Amino acid sequence: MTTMEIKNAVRQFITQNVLLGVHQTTIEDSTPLVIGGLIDSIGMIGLVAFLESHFHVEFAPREINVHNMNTLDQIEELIRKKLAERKSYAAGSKPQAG
Amino acid sequence: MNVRIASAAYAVPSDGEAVAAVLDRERDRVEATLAPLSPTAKQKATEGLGLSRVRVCGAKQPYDLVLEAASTAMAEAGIRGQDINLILDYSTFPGENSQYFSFAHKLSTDLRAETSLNLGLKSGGCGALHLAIKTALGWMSTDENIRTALLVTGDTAPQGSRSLLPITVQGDAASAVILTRDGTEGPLLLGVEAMTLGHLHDAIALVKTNGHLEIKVDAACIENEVMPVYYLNLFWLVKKVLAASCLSLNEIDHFIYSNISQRDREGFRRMVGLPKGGLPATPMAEYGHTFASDLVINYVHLRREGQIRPGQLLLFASAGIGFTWGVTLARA
Repeated sequence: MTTMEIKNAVRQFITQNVLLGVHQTTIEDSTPLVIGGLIDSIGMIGLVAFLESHFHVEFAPREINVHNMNTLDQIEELIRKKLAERKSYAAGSKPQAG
Repeated sequence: MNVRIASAAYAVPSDGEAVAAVLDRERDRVEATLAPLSPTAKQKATEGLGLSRVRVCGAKQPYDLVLEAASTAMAEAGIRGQDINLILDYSTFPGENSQYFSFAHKLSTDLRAETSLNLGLKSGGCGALHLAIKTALGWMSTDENIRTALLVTGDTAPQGSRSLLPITVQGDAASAVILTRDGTEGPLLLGVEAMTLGHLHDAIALVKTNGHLEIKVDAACIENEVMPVYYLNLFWLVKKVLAASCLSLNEIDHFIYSNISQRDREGFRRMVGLPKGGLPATPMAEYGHTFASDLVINYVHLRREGQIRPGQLLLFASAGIGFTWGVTLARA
């Protein structure tokens, strides 16, 4: 899965499901989604559920914070890390902590 | 293990103060706390509180209220002092002039529970009830002699720190919950889940200023760090506790949530997917946010109103200082 594919899937979900009634025509890769007030705490529940089901990953509560979920860039990086972890598990090796 | 909430009770001081008067008196502190926020966030901070008055300790201090609540709960459950094997005090703000050690020791003497194991935990704020229940369950599961536990909290806002804007305004109260193992009366505990995020410990901190305790709220941290994951973490715990009992959200009959603000209760309502007005009314307008006693107050009110029927599912949820999130599931 390419960087662009991940970002576009997340961008589309956010635009269609989560935005807080804000008329934001485009979400740039660096648009602050949480700090900027585009996604609230309830919206985060939907977003995380989407990420888990769409990318077949699973988050632990401590893994989600405003520093890794505030922009599309950060979300993409987080997803990429989770996908790598999954691949690592599938290959039978334990991922490094952190 | 079969552990039930045999009884619960609360006590509030008779003196009260209008929330508007509190915010006026603490205006400088409120303005300083809200200064880092945007104009919109500042405006939101004082809107939708849903709190009119708070009760304020005067002649009766938190310990007196704890004793009153504990005595009421014991009478309701038909339990004598010597029946209590564990007393756990989970007060967050027991009062500047209270004894430094846990209320549990003095309480064991005053209730004639001389053989009880007396413990205290100071963690969790509004989320502490779940920590207390889980701790008691741990003791019960590892010590055959601990069959009846009394959990108490008694809290009063430090002088001049009644406002916790942008979150809430605090009222004083105490509450008591009695858990019994292998009993037949009261809701059966099905599960308790809790989590903490230590990196958010400064969101609400207790500091000493000019020799007095003061609650410092980091409004920017609350807004930018806590709130984005606030309901998410609560939702995670709800899912976890339900999954462990093979239950789903739509099977819950009563959601018992804290009285932080109407705005917060609205967020919780959306989180669990209830329709508008789906959460039961609580005495929050009259009592304010009473720390971890909120859940007990709301539970007692539901029971008094006869709304809890045998077999119904109760889900208690709250979050607080630490930062701490907790959920308890029980079947009436």
